[in-house]
Amino acid sequence: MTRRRRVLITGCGIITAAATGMEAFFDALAAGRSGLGLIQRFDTSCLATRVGGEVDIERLSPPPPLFSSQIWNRPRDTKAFLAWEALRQIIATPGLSPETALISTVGLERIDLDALIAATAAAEATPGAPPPEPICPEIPLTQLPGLLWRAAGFTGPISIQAAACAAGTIALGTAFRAIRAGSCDRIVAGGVDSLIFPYGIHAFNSIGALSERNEIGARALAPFDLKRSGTLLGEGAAYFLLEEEAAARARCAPILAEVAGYGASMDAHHCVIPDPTGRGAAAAMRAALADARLTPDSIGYINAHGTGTPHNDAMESRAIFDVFGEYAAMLPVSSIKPFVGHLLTAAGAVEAAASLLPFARGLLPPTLHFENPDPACKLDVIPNVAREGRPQYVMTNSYGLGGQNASLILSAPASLTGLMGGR
Amino acid sequence: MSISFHSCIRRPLKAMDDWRSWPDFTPKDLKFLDRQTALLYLTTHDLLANCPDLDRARSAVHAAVGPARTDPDAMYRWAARIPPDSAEPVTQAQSLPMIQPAGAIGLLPNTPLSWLSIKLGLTGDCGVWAGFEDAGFAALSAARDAISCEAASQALVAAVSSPDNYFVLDGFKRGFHSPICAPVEIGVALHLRCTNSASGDVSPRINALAAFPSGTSVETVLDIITKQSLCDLHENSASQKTLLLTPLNPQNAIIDGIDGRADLSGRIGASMPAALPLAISFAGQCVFGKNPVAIIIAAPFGSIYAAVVTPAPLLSVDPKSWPAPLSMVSEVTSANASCSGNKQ
Repeated sequence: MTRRRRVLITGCGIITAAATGMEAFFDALAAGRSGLGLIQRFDTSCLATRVGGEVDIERLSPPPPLFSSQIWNRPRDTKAFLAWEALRQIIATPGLSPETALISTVGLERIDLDALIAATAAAEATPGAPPPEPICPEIPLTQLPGLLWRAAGFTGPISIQAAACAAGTIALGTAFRAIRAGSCDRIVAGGVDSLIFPYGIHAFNSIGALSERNEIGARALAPFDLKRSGTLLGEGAAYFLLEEEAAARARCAPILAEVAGYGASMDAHHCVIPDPTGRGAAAAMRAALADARLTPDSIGYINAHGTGTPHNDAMESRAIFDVFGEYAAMLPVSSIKPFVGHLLTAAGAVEAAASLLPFARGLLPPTLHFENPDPACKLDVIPNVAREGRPQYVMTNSYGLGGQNASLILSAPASLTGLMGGR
Repeated sequence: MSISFHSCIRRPLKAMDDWRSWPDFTPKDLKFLDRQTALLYLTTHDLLANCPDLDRARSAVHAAVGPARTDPDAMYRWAARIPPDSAEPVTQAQSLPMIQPAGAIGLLPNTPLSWLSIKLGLTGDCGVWAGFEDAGFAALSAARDAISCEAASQALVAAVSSPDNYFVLDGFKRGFHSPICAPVEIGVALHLRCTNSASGDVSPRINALAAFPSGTSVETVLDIITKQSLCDLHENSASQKTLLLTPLNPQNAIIDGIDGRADLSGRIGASMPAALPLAISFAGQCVFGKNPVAIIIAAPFGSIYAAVVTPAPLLSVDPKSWPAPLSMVSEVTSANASCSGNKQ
């Protein structure tokens, strides 16, 4: 068996509604402290869903001016603030070379509706003025992570992964493969997203994805619970520094985990509804296990996609049983979405960060608001309080609307010495 | 690792009717499709027609697309409380205008890949890469790495340039691209396989594929891809081509550092996410001759992407110095008639 290049996680920057920074994020997970609440940024009275995982943008450092151009200057979009905060935590890493590449998610494009409506009102108040065009006062969001990366002084290539809610995990998996294959030694990978704006929330209401139980606040998001009624949206960002082992050791980098395996698949089923059989999700988990050269019983914890929608959680449970068999009933599983909301393209990156909690603190994150077990989800769901546990390997799953699936397996840093001459 | 490939290029859709009559789609499906998705689908469909033995569960699929197809006008109408079938806003007391499911799904940037998967039964490794020229390289390198890491036995790269989108055109307004290179609508699909010289595979090959930090000199790029590809790309320039695609203002672009080389984007326009796959496809079809071709792309924000392609020696296409203008390219061109690639 050939020896493969090993890929280590040596840094992570994160911001969510629950916490900013890795230690604070771990504290929130350990304490069971959710960041969800009534959305304050705008008037939600006309929306069916009024609860989400909102970050207080006002307290964040503003992103730097981007791309010296007469057309724009300092970005105002929420995603710019979130991405910059998470990247800022990473780029402070000593020894990070300026040629480092970036793989990021960013989510959908949007226009500044407030600016547009204000412009419309102003035009209407001026007799004879032409109606304004729908304009994009902001930077096209597909370009945002790249511009931030350049503004931070990095010259490396930039890639934008856009596979919806699986994108964050695919970004990490792609970075892992690129380093393992020898294409490069060091990549920053992760994602940013926010759908906390009226059109975004209303769009997800229109496809029936969101809970409308505003009266119970954050408790409306209850993955794997019998009474789950849909997901709630969040916003945030997480970026990881992935390095080839020798490159990491050369700069004496702290090792948070090793990326042991990655797998992805597609449902080929429906543009919104997941394949109820769970075949696609199971294929991604099997591919990750095969890539890591592990048997299913090697996995000690699964960070589930766990959106809290009836379709997803039943499908994911079925897929886990399909892959893990009887062992699934004793395999601890949790979803951290009740802490931060559904971060869409950034979900995979934020949930990979949560998957480091067992390695850092010896705790498995809980599933908040889990009270009524669902016979369709007969998993060992960790309810409400973090559970002690130090698994050697953890798996994190992400499933995109449209049928893209991705699974990543992370290994505890303590296992690194034993693996030196192994895989 | 050497990658052999064959490819398919598809010209712009003449009208939406081109795909509305496509038999794989129901009238309900059509509500969810946009031109980018339709072109990507048709291009990949045409490619797969020549790949009857492709394992659709074991092949990676990486798509390169433009920005998400968010409809600014629909967002504006919604925010202004103007229903889709009206010119007047509803009163505050009334409920918000509904967003049709098609509009909501159109927000998802992965919709083009989802339709490829659903309609073509593709269930393997995947990724969808968005943006301008960077996306084409990202899709190609992810596909190559999936093969290299044994996550897939083969890979499809499907790339589309479709400028019928506010956010694409906005990029041009903001100076990401040279105003002399108008955006073009084109789809490209590549089928990649691992190969070696002893296999008898005579398909065209990608001998090198690499990304470079902004500011890297052309000579450094050529040095590195020469070593990777084992092809001499410095001397004897009469017998080989270096192909440059640059969306940037030529005064600031690396094209100034090259003598007597070709600027493809100046001839055919900016093909954005499809740029690198398109250049590789053209090179594989001997459009630039039968010798190895170096392709260098300077993307927005300065990243540099390079590839070396060895054309198929047995292809019967007459060498041409330049690709024909797109209006003269046939509706569908296919590099190889057979997926096997072994013509012996």
